[in-house]
Amino acid sequence: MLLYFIKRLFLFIPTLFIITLFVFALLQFSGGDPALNALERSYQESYDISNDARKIRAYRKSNNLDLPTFYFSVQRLSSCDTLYRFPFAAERSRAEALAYATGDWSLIARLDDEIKKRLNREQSDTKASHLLMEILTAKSITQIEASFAQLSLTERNDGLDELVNELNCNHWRIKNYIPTIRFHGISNQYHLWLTEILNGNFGNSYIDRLPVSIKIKEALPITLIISLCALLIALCIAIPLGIYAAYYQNGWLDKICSQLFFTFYALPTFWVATLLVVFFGAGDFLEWFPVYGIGNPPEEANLLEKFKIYSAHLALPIFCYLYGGLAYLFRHIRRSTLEELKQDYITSAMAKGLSIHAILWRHSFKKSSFPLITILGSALPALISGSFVIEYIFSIDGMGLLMLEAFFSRDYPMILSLLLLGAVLTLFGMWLADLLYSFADPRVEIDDSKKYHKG
Amino acid sequence: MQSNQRSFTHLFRALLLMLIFINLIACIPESQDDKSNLLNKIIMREAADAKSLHPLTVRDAVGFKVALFMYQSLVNIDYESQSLVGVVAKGEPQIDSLPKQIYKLTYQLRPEAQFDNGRQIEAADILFSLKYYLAPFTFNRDNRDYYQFIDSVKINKNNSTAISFYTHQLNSRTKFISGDFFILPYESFDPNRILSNYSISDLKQLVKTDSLPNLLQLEQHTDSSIKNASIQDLKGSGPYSLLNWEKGKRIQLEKKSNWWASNLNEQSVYFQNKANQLQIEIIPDETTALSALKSGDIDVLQGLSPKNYEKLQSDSSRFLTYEMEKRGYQYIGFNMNHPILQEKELRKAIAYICPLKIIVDQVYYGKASISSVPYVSATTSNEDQYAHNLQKAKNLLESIDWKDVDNDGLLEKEINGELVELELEFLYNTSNDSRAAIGMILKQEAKKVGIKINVQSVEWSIYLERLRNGNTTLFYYGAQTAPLPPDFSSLFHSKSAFGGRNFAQYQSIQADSLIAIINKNISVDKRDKIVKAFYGLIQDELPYYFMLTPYELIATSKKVKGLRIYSDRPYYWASELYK
Amino acid sequence: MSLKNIYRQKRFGILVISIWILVAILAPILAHSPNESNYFLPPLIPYGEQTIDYKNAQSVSPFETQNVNSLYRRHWLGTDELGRDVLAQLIHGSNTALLVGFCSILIASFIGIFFGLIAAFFGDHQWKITRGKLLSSLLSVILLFTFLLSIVPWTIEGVNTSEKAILTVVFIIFTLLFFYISNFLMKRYRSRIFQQNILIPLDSILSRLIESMEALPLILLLIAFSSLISPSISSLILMISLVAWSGIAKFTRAEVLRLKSSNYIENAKSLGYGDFRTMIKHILPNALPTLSVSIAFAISSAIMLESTLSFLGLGLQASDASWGALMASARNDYSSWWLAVFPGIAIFLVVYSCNSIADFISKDDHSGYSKRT
Repeated sequence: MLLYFIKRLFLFIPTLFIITLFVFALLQFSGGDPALNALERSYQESYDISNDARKIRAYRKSNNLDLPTFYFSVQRLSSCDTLYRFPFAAERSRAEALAYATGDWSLIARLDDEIKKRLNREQSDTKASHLLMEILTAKSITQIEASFAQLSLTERNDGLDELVNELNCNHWRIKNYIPTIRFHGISNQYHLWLTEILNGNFGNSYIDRLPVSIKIKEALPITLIISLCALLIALCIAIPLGIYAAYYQNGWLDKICSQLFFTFYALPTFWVATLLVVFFGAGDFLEWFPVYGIGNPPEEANLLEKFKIYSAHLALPIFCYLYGGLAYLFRHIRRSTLEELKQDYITSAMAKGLSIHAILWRHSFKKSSFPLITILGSALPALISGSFVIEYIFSIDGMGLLMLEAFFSRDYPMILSLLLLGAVLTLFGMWLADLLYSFADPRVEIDDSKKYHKG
Repeated sequence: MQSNQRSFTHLFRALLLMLIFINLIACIPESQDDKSNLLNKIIMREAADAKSLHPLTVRDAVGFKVALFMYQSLVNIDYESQSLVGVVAKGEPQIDSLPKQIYKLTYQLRPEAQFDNGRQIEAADILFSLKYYLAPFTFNRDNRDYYQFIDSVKINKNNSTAISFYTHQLNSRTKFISGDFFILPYESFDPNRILSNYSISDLKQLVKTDSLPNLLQLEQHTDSSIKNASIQDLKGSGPYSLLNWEKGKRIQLEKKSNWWASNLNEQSVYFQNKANQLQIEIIPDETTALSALKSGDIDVLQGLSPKNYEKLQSDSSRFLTYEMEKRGYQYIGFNMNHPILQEKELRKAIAYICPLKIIVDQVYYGKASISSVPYVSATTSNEDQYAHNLQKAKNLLESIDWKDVDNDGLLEKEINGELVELELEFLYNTSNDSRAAIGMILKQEAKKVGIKINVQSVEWSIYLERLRNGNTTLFYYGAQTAPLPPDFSSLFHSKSAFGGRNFAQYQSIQADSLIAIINKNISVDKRDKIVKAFYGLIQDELPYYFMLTPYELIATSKKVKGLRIYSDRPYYWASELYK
Repeated sequence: MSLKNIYRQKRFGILVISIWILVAILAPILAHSPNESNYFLPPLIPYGEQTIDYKNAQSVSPFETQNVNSLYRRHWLGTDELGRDVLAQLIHGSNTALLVGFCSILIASFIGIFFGLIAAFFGDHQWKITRGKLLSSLLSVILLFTFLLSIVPWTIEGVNTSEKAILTVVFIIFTLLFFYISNFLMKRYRSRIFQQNILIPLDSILSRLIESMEALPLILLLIAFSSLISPSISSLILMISLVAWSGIAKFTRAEVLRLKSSNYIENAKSLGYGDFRTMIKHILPNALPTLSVSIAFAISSAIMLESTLSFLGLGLQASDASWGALMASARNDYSSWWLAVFPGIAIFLVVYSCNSIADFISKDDHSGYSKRT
């Protein structure tokens, strides 16, 4: 049995590896460009129009974004092999569209080179340079030909007309349908990221260039405190109520608790949080709780005062965190207690004269707590990911806000590190839950290899 | 019976515990309300934290706002007169034309200007600050690009309060941007005086610091200071010093006790420091911020939405409210490469469909002003050229052959041999309710003339990418502008089209030449005439339909006095406030 | 007494669900703007879900005097910020809730139950296939993915949909041909090597797959998805089903593992029943009661998820009415209680009915324990 769990522990590494691959692929698909986001965040206007392109190129270079994503890529034979070098998404989509339309990227590449040479020779702001720019930004062959037709005869010669005519020569465009594997070697984003991670360097966030580990270290404690407190309080409320509701099935306790917790479940968190802030915090109604934040106790305050300030500020967020899960916990405990109470050993315990409390807590709770183990195991990653909604409304800078901001600004180092952390915790949580479950309930056969060994 | 009793006791025990817990919490020590009164502290709310407060990397709005209290530059724009006012310098630079197309800008420094340690700010300090901004650090690229127009700097050995910049690029904005870098004390930023070994041209030519070990050391020192957000290194000559920065929670600034400019009799905002302490609280959600204002946790709330502003306005016994038109623009853009949008009659028809007055009244509660040009000045007319008129729209559409061929309420036309339906997509970024409302109103009005508009929202990164990629049809965008001479190149020049900020992909040779003339350093009258002609061209071709600028809405508690609201960022100056 | 209660609950639940489905299907007819669409019946509510009433904008309450011409045009449940009628939005929103809640979880349940069932039933040591078949199926799956992901021009501009569809169909046929031909070839030549049976640890593989799905945060998947396909109802359904199947699969697997060791299954095996028959006819019906509770919870979570997504900005478009979007807009405007209360009641009723039906199916022992002694 133990061997099975140790084997599973070893399977962590390949699973994590596959998860990181998948996440990398997903990030590529998500679109959005961190360089563009960084550009938008800057504040200065300036006259130099070509600045944008230069800044984006420099940003991509310094953050290794102009390297291929993985060791190899599978593409059409006709597609552009250096697609990752184009800084703008517009250029990339143009390259793809033209490569597909002509059936061969090399034709387009030669055409582009020739046009760039001519643009360097020409003066800017002439009709010819405008038309050449139009060709350089055209997305279909018809547009290229239309712009080309407007060029005067002198500009058309020197091989340009041959290049444009060649664009249409592939009728079948066979290369479009043949896959090929292109190898990029070691200098690719995944490899660089992996080596950095294995050296313990999680990179710097794109948003403010702070090291990712420092940002996570600052945001983690408050999220953990809120989640752990919420979990503990939820357990303290749901377990006794669930057990007694099961015992007095359909009594007033059962009915009230079920309905109440169910109503709680049906209320969305963001709405309840705002309502609590407005009604219990602001000046219009009651001012029982502070409105936002986690409190700012002065340096000299002793431990009790600090605790009072923090707990006053965190009471509402913790409540918002736990009220939704109460229904789920309550139902599970109630159901499993009901199942246990049907068993024969309970009747025999009652016959022996044990008080009902001893039975409920000492005997049936132990058995009915098994689903709790699975729930707690899967709750492990949720502990650190926090709830974005609660943190946004109560202005608590925790992991939820960190994660959402990272996702929306395409902050790749932060996203990958957070995902790695979450994946490790999820795998570990499930493993731990299965382990504890198998110890708690020896009847369950998680590892059934012995059954099928041919004797 | 016994068991029932026991369960009741357990329940009551639990309830009692909860009540005790709540009581503990409810008796919190009384809030900072009283304390802030005593200290003359102004508490402001911002929706996001400053990303960096280091002068080289301060970029975002909040960081810049705080930096303006910590550091000072040579000159800056006075918000009331819209002209330059000298901060560390006495006034505007004197511009001399030298032979071979070289221009010299000379600044005279104020003799009373000092750093915190009492040392007078001299020309050498200006030179050091400029060198710092031009240093070849990897994170300093934006600054190097911005200031690369300064060729060299000369200091007169006999006169330490004058400094001259030499440049060969003089345009209408040069005198504004040549003096807007922060003046920094070398004791905090370059204690070993490494930069004094290099001249401006040396630094501009270097690309990286790898080859020079002492520059590399300075780069690493600066980098770690930025990354650790170490407050003690951030010193400047401004009215406030940084007391405390809890990332994501609050920023605290404290008034300097012997600031050099406190005795100056100038009224410009750059010389005010009335409040003793300035505190910025970071509250992302507006509803929570509103509750914080009502409970007295914050004093100043800016960037209000019109609906919340009206609520606070009606509660005038507790709050003071201010409103002012912002300097900026918002537009509906047309992708000129889209096959349907290539005819200007269609664009004009869509402009006629858009009911601006209804939008201003309903979506912005009247708190927006209609402005049909991007840079408003005294001489430009502000009327809506395309006031809501469905009949004119229908006539225009008919004139370019859009007809309802199959009687389904939607117009069709033959383009390139195919029958195309008049269906357009209106793109905006998510979580922006006013833009969603504008899209929905436009959709409803467009249906009345037979145009189908799909209102589509995408998240911010995708939105930016689609705008730059030209993967749009109709799109809504807006920006704030600076109180500088207008720069139309980013919006209208053909070079900004593919991948730049000319999201409409507008390419017109006539517009390009007009822009080139406007950007030269010509007199204000000449410029206004050409700008008027330019606006005439733009409003006829309509690559963008400029609609409105919303007001800046600020509410404060009754205790805060002295607030004046301006049209430009930061819209009010906290250093003018006091209690 | 208690049994009657359950039946009453179940009847109430079924009533609510049927009203919900009816309203959702009839929504375009019940509430539309008379001058915009041409149905032969006049609508019950003369407002569509996108009809903006300029004279009653900025959240008019249902109780105050409204600027309307007649009682027929009155906004019975008030209007929202833009001037859209709340009742019309509730009616059309039931459509969205039905699709987003019901359909997505239905799809997720199919996928989840299937995977959970085979993972638990076959375990690690039961499923054997021949080496040849394994090789050919792996190769054809790789081939199919290569073709579909890299060769079919999904994201290229200027390629019309028919070309993509034709290419997809051609490649699928090609892959199937490859599969059969390779099978045939392996049977003819070197049959002994390829006919050996290998054990496939199905449970481990599927469990790792489920774990990996759980490890990915929802938001990343949503963001990636929403940038590939512009957000709409169908993309939301797809997203939610792709995310929810792993939870259902985990639950199914746990249930089936528990049931597998019971007596009647062993009897079925000794009687010689085939695998699939045992699974579908014996295990599945006994697993469904417990599963129905988690499926009901999943439906409720899906509907609630939609409102949280509207809050984040990843939800439906502004032109799609939904209960979640109404509640999200109610947050900023908390004094307009009608924007939150009515959709809240609707969500609550739907969630409650789903769960009471699930309760009924789950065959709780309703007689109670404390009465027994």
